[in-house]
Amino acid sequence: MAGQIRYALGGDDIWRKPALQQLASTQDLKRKEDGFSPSRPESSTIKMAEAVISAIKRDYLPIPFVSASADGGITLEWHKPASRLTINIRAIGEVGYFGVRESGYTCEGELKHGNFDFINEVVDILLVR
Amino acid sequence: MPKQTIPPVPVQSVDDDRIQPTDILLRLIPIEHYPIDPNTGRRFVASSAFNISRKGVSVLRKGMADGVIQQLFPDFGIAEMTAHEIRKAGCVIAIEEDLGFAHWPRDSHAVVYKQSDTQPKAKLKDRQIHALTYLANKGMRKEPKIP
Repeated sequence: MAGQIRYALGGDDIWRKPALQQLASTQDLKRKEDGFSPSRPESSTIKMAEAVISAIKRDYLPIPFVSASADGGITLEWHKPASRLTINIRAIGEVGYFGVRESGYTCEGELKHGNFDFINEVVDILLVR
Repeated sequence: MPKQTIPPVPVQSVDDDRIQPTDILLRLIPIEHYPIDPNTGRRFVASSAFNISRKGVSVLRKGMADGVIQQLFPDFGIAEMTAHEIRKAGCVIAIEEDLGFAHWPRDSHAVVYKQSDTQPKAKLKDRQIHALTYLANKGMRKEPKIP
């Protein structure tokens, strides 16, 4: 069901399967035009989110919160006590990320289609180290 | 003949000065964008509330759309932020009709775009999405109805 929380109880875990389950649940959403409710993403956006998830090599990460935005974008969001990472797959087909650590360190950028490998560096800095 | 470079003409900003810095703008938060943080056990506004690229981020001017919110969005949470905070995050605010949703009273609906010298209605970058998400978490005034 869309919006259902599927987090494990903190800590690191095999994260990919629950992330993909959350992603699949966005296909149950309706298309809405009110500007606030989550809206069913296009299949191309879902595929791009799947490609981002597949590109991340680490098996043990916290389970991200995966949700659809009001225009059918998809966000993957990891929270750790001292850091956060958000990957935004936009409905218009772009992928960007923003990460922040408690120390004030931030990083942001765009990920190029077909070459999402760079996200592994960002994941390591924000979610592993 | 040397090639002449024509400097880009700055575009007219869509930022609307009818919205004063202290004016409060509302972002409605559905329960799907208000999950539980496993680290703290507390709910938070997810960044997906602001990951909108096709038409900008809708906000409502406080006090101008209460009837429609109560009638059509009774279960939604409400996050408040000032116009100053939104602009400080690198955004502009334009009072616009929502062409996809005709119920908002006149001039009550506004759209947040990224501030840009070259595009009047630039889409938000991840930095702005992050900043607006932070503001929404800070300014959460009413929680969505939790099923």
